[in-house]
Amino acid sequence: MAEKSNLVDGLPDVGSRVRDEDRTTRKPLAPFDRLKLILLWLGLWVLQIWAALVDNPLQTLNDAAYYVTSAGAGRFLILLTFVEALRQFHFVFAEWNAKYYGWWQRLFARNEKFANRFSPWTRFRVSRIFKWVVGVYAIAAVVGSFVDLSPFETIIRSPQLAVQALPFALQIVFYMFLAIIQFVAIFYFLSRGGIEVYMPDDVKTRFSDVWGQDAVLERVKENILFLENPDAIESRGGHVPGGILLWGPPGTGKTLMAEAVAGETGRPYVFVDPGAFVNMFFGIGVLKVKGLFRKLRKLALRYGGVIVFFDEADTLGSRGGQVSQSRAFTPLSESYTLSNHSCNGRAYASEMGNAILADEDRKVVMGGMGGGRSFDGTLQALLTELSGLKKPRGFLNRIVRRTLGMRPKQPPKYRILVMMATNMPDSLDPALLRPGRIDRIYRVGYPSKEGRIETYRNYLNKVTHNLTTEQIESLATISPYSTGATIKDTVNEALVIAIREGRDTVEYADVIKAKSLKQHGLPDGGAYVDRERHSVALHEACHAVTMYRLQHNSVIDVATIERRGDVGGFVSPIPLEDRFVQWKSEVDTDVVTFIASLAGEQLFYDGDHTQGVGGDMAAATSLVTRGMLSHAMGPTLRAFNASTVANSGLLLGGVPLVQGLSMEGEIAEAIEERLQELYSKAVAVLKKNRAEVLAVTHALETYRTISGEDVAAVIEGRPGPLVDGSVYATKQMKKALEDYHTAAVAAHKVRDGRPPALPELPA
Amino acid sequence: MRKVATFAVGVIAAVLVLSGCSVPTVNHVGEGSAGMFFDLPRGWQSISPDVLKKAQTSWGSTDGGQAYLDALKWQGVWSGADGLTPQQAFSNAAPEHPVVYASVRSLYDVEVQNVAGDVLTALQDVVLPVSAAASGDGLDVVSNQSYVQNGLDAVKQQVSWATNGVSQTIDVRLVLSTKKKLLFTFWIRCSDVCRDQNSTAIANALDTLTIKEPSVG
Repeated sequence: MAEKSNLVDGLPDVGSRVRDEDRTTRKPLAPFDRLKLILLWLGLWVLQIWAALVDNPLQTLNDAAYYVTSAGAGRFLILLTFVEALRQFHFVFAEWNAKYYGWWQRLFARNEKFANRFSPWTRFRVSRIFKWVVGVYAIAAVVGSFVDLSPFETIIRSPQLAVQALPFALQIVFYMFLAIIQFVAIFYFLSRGGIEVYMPDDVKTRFSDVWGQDAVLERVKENILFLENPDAIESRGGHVPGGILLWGPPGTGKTLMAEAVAGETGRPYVFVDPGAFVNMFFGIGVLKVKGLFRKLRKLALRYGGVIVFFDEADTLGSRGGQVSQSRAFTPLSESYTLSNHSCNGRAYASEMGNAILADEDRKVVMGGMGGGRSFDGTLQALLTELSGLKKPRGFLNRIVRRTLGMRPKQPPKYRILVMMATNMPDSLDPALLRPGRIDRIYRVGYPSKEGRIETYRNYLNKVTHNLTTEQIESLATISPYSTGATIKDTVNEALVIAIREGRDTVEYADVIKAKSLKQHGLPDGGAYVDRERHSVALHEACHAVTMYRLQHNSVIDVATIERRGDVGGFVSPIPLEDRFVQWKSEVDTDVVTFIASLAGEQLFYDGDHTQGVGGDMAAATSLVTRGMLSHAMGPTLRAFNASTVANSGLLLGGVPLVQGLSMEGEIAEAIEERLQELYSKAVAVLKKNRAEVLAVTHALETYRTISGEDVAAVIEGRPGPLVDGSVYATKQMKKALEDYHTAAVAAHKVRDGRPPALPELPA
Repeated sequence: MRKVATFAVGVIAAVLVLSGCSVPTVNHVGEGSAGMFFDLPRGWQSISPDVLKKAQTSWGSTDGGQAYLDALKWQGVWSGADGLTPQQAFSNAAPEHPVVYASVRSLYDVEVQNVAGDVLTALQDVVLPVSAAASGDGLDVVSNQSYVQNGLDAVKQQVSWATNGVSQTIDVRLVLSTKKKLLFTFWIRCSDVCRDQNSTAIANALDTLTIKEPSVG
């Protein structure tokens, strides 16, 4: 008969392990397992004898063993030893004798069957009673040994013993209390603060003080109305909206609107400081949130409702580490006008073109940096408080009523209106923004033109001024992305300029200067050498004239040749209306505006040009490339997304590759062809407007910085607000400018050549 | 089977060891915290410390009594008689059975000054007015001398007197702690007849008296 196959050749087959239910005898125990408890009890007994010997020098071993064994714990230990020995004998027989083992198994099975008659809950309670009895007896025995009483007497006299031990016990409790109270005190004081409660009439701001945000204001008023008069909606089966989020760029009036709510409402208003929930220790934020809502519930019950405002809500409402691409919040007048080192590469483009170019170096806002870290549970606590389970509150309500078999009372309806404001809504947790927590989300964007007019008027009315309505409207037109805060700051700066010049009355020119100062910063004050001044002015004049002639959807804000940091000069446009898409023709116009500097320099300097065109050409190339690759503005219909285009290398001047495909040939040639075409167009425009270019050049050389209206006046040959453009319309002036330019070009071609003096304007 | 046999042998050995504990004939009295140890015959009874203290408190209303109780650290009374009361233990009458008293107390301030000099002179009158007895005051001072007990300065006395015609003798041992702050007092008294009957026990108690100073003192 063949042997069974083994796992390993040559080893005997040990077969499978016997199952417990197949055993006929008890599984043998290891020798140590048999003896361990006996050794333990005997060891403790020996320890007791040893202690007795040590305690009394007259004690002999025999006497110590007798006394230990005859009384107290020693006797108990010997008893335990015998019980364990008996148990082990039982095990030995069960391991040796199958009949004996079987009998015990049947006995245990019968016991199990008897016990299983009772429900698990009954068995649990019985065992609990048993444990209590044993536990109480054990404690009584221990305590009794100290006070020399029997366990039963100890139980009976336990109240008396507890009273006697009270001083000591209270001491222990007191010391524990001292230790605990330190932590309680620390956390209590750390969890305070950051919350201000305003009662009605504490705040003076009203809705009428908020300008330029009428649409949002009306919706916010509606929310307040429902809070003040909840029946208006609840009687119709609805509920009072619980949360409002105001989001938008900084300075658009979100906090002011909240202040106005505080001033208008007849309910308490709680302002939560943004930094209140940024804490040193974990858990403090949770305590603060819970403490805040406890206070809110009390106020809501007492006054019938309460409003709480979280400013910079992203500090609290973000889970941290999220990336927000807040492209929509990048105003035109910010850093992009000063982002190019060799020339102001982007300012000449329209707003849409700038937005496209902005995609290349997209501003990435780390939600985690500006937003708060909420991995310590603060956000979760806030979410729960805003819309968690409505749990019954109070010790009496929850514990006592349940103990008496009664259901706890549900909490009352707390009318709490939560208002939040942020300029980084992308970093807010989606759970916070769901209906039920934040029911209404309102964008508080840049004010419309009418809003800006109203804002300018109201802030100017706070100072002495002589601006006309048309001038105010003009100001509003040329400040498309100005917020209320910006306008307020501009008017204040204008007042400072007026005071500096010894006047009390603010004039239009003051406001223009203030606006330019705030928008573009203070010029460095450095001067160019004469021939460079002319070339820089000519460069900017080419941009200005091209922009004026070709761009229909924007006006020039300011043209300047004054250095600001690394920027030599710029011409910045202002869009006339808010639009979201740009036409191909408008993209081409932007490109022509960029290329105008190269075209103009080459045209006016006999083919020569400066390095300053680098930024312009890069921007022009980007616009054309982007249009062809992403917006089907080229010879092909294929379109690639922004990041692919950004990584294509074309924009960075590297090897053009798009998704592994070489772009040399087809698209690259098309790009070059388009640029050449638009270059020719720029040349044509500049040739046609040569006199205007030279006029604007002269105006820039004379005044350094001129407003868009003055640029228009110079081009059109009429008086402007600050510059009289009519002098440039005369033949004499045109000839003088032409001669001056010719001399400047001649000087440019020779070493140490100096252009003649700038032609003076007629008096 | 071998294992079973080994196990059985072990258990039996343990039982034998345990059963070898014969009943002691003496009671080793004393506590480590007190520092005083002596042997008394098994069967001699002690008065409950609570009962003793209660009785002494009721006596301690006189001057000196309360001071004594305040200075006490440990004490005990034993006797060969059943049901001995504190009154009987400290009465003047001659007991029929030996009465043993042991105590550990702090020295009074005046005693601290006195023991700085001659120990015998300082301690001889602690239990009985031995110096007065020397001038013939009813007490027969059999012996009164200083000695060294377990390396400590001590005084031992044997004094006899008669009450109601019955004569009794008291053996006193007074031991000072090393720093002379604690006094260990041990006396055993009974009538002359009882003394003859219990001479071995009395001698054994006196011989086994051991002072092992506690850490405090």
